[in-house]
Amino acid sequence: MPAFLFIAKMKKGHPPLMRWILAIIVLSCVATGGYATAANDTAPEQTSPQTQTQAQSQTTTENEPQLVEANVDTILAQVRKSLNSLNYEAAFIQVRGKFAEPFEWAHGLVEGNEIEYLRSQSGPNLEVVRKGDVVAYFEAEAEPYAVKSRAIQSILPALFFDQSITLGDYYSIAVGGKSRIIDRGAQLIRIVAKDNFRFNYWLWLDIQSGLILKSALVSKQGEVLEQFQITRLNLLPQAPAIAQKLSTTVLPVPPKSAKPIRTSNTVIKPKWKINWLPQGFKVVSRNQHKLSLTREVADYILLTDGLVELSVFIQPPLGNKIKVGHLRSGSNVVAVYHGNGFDVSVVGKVPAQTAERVAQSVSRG
Amino acid sequence: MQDDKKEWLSALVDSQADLKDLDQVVHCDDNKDTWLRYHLIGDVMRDDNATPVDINLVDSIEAAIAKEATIVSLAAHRSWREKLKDSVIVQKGSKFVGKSAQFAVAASVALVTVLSVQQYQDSAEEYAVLPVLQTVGPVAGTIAPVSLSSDNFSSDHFSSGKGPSSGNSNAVVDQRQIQLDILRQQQRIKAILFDHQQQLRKNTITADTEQEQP
Repeated sequence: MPAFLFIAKMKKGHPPLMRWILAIIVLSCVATGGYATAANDTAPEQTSPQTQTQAQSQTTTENEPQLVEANVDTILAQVRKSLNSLNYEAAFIQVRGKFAEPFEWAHGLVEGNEIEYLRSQSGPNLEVVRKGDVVAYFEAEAEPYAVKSRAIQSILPALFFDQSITLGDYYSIAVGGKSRIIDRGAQLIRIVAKDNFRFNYWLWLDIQSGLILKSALVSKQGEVLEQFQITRLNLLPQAPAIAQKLSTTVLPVPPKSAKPIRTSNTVIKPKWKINWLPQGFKVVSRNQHKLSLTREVADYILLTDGLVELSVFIQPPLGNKIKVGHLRSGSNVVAVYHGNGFDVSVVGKVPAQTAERVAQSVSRG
Repeated sequence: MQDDKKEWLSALVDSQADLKDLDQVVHCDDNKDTWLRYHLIGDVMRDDNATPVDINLVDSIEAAIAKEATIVSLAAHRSWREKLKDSVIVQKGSKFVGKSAQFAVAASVALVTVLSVQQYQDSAEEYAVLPVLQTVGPVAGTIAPVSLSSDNFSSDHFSSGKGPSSGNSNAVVDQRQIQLDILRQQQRIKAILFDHQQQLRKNTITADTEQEQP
């Protein structure tokens, strides 16, 4: 009887208190934010994350168990479709290492033709216009030029724009938690490297449109190396004004092939062999060109695993004994190795050990 | 009286007093203090002791220890613990304790959360400790600005170096050579970083555009 009375008393006195405790717990969950929920592999409250990201196009994956390995191709297809077919105006910030840069971004379809526009809002002016598969770069103090490409460099990995790029078998996709980004519901998708030779890539997709609201390059240890964050997003019923204006602008003509300018006075003859690469890295381009800043000749190899690119430069030795090892510039790492009669430099958004190992593995072919 | 006391003490310090006075010093704290002070003054005047010693140091350390001990012992003290326990038991049935206990739990959850968030952020901070290239690059917008400080480089010139026997002029030449080498290496890395961005723009990263040089 006294026990019953006690409970009755409790019930009367406690509801507001319970609400407080709940509020505190909810607040603390919000405080931990996307990272904490994302880091937690067994986040409890996702019922059907796939349908969330693909709410527009399909609802076939109802009642799937949580955090199954989502289909890479379906998610990529959705992201590409959103980025390439919607009309939007946006502003974003790119954080690389210590540097943060603001950009203005617009995309629209004018009479069925894709027009994309990017402008840097800090430092020397940079404007980039993409019409279909031609990208033109307009920079301060440089001749404008155009290249054939389906993606403007430096917004997001080309993978999210260009459907001819495949991610390969060296990453898996995991669906994470939901959160709020610029007042919009966002679904976290994690692209997880299967080995330790590359970084992970996290995407927060707008649940409504499928656009990328935020992305982060994250090391295996959880360090955030690079971030892309939309700060303003306007989804429009028709192409934004800038895209309509640009539809009549004539762009420079891209060179017939994507091959860079080759110099005739070749100094280094031998071909090179890269004896070690993380699985999945393929050669995209090999050439010999002069570095525009120093006019030094370099043999050049460009590699990609679908998500990140690696540049390998082979140059005549400087003849010094300066040990560099590796250095960081923003989210890029530069590894320098003094070979026998040549210097190798490897640049890319990969762990330092990967870049160093690649640099050390280069030999004359 | 005061002056009188100081006079015999002063004499004692100068070894001009009777030994019986020594007892008075030893048995009286106040006298002992003055005696120490006189010796210190003497030492300083004779420049024997360059660093005047704080004669109260030992006392202050003792006092500090005593203070700390109080805090620790309060928690460890048995009777205090008992008293606290008793009062909690007495109050157990009351609404107030129940409330505050739940608040305590909730508050500690919040605290742990905040702490773990901070820890997470700390680990991200560490990244910045790595050598970072920075200055003004030729193109902003896409390329992280670059500059290297010579701290980022180590040189064999030092480790395998000619040592002190090589003479001053050689060392100066070496230094200059190292600076020059570092400068050239910096320029090359800058050029490579810039070129990397240029190449990414110029080469479409598609699987089917693989092009081998003939």
